[in-house]
Amino acid sequence: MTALLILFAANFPGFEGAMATDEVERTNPELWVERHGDYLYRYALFRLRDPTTAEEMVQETFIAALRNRAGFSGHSSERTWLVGILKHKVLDHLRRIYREKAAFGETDADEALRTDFNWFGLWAASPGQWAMDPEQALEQKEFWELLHDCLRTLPAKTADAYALREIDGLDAEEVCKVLHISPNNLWVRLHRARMALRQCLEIKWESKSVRKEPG
Amino acid sequence: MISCRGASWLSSQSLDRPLTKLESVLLKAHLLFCDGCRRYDRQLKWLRRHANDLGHFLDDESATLPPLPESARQRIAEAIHKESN
Repeated sequence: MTALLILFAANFPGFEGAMATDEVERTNPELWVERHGDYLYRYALFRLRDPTTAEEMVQETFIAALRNRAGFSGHSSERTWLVGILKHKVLDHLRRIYREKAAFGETDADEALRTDFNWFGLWAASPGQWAMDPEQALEQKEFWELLHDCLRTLPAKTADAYALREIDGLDAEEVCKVLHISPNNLWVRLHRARMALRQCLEIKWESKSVRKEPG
Repeated sequence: MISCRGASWLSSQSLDRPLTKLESVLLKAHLLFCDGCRRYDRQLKWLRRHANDLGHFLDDESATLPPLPESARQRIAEAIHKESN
């Protein structure tokens, strides 16, 4: 299908160019905050969990977009284009702070030990059955809200590792580069994050569904 | 045989790198007999499938994350205005 479109466009020189100019005119920076401010802010807030940093990221995104308005091809929506820039800003931010942390020789050793298993290596509390049906839109919303709450209970470096890997979907090697850590280090952080998030989600879910029971 | 501690580590590892033949056999054998670890393994995979669609969640108007605060809104609008002139 895409190939057909390209063939089609190629037959009309200037077709793509005309579309791009049209879109550039249609993207009006004075309206950006109104149209996309909340969305970008929520995205940054979810990813970085800090309101002040999230505000900075939104501002930096708009300024970068302004300077690079020619880069908006009109092939995607204005929103998609801005979110793309924001994602880069979030990665840059994380790269910066973790580079500094690495320079100060911060290690994972100081992290509190979790007690998920007993002396015999068996579950202290076995994972329970999940009754959640994420195919239902309402529950999907609930899931994200709980995930946000649970991510905020983790140490920042654990939550960031998890979010980069599972929410952004970067591969393990890329995540290591952003966080300035070895693969082994990353695996330990992801293991801790998954262990803690799974438990946190289960507890929060249970308390929610108990409250929902009639009477 | 491996413990639940070891099995949970391998479940997590399997999401980030291919397990070796031996690891894979050890994990499978453990899951065969352990309900808790089987649930754990399933739930990690479930999380992976559902935690990658943040955009979709944010599109929902009823999502409960707070909006961009008014003070920041004004400051950013001014910064954009200044930069575009």
